[in-house]
Amino acid sequence: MSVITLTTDAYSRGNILAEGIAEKMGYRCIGDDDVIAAAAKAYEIDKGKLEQSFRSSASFFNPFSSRKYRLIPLLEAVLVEQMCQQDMIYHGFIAVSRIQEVSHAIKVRVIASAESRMREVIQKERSSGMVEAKDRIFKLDEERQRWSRAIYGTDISDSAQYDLVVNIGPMGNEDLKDAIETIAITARQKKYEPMTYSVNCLTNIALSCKIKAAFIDSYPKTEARSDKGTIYMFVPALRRKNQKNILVFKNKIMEFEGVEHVEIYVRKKNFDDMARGN
Amino acid sequence: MKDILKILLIDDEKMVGDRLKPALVKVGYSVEALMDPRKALQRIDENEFDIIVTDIMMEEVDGIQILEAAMKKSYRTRVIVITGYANVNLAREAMDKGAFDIIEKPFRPGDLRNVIANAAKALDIQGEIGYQSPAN
Repeated sequence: MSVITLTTDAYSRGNILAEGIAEKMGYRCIGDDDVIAAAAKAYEIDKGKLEQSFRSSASFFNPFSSRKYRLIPLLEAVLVEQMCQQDMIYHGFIAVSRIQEVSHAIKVRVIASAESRMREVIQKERSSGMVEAKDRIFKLDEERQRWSRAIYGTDISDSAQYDLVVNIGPMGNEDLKDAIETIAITARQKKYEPMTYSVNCLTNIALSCKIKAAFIDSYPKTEARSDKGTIYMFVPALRRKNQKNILVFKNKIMEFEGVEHVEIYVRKKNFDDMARGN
Repeated sequence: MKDILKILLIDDEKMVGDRLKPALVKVGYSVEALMDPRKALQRIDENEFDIIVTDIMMEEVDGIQILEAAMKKSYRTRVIVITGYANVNLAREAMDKGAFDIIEKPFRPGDLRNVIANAAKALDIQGEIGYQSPAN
């Protein structure tokens, strides 16, 4: 299934672009609201609470609350699962770093000029002026950067992460069709077609995310990697009493569809954990 | 008369050919297995194969060169790349140059048979070429 991810800064008219590309390509268009709704349904969590956690502001001292940290794997699990099932365009940045190795997922970054973004803020939020709009944009950009660094260890604005970077600059809405056309032409290239290797990559990631999400409450610091039915679990040092539970843990993982074998490794605390306050 | 799918299998590891050739012959394909990619280039020049299955990392001539030669000879030929060194760049390069599919090693013979069946379908060759389970 073909996948386009479209990552934009706030107020960069990403929704208009994403919907335009989806219409042109005949793909389903999915945004963060859809992902939150799907996760709420799949994991039987109150949608309002999920939304609140997702949108909550980060602070300088606590860039990533543990609640938000636990929420992301749920969103990643439902999003990557959907990527496996249908041709789609996703507008957002959840899991974009996770699918770097998936050759049929084309990662697109769209940048807009500060002036056009400020105009969007004023128009949408009935903001009083350019200075206030500029402050809002600056704050949102900074927050997303922290968000992305804390969870993925990457810079969301780093062009190296993307296959295509489109600068819509000060383009008016009527000219966005050119940007849509450019993205659609690129996405139709043969090199972005799904193949056995890339489909397997995505399936592996989907299963890893699903397992990580399923154990996020009981084993929040555990990482899962899947490779053709073998699951590699990386768990923090286990206490003696927890070691007895490892077999139960393994058996629970074996219940997932597609899992043939489970290997568990104990990992030491690393700097990423410390940065996340774990 | 039924069409028999002509397959050229290229891998410099003897074990790969030894294992895959019988698995493909068993389901009715005509398979020529070669370990020397230079000989493979010669065979591609002489013959038109329906499907070429090639490894990527080989000495002197690599799988991408095989792919290019196959595409130059005939756009009808479907090239399936098998590799233990797959990554996003290689996958895209191979697809861009006309590969039909890419499979990461190790894989089961049944995985390759399924991809070959898809390639045969794309070639619109009927008859003995469809995938059959080992039970058949």
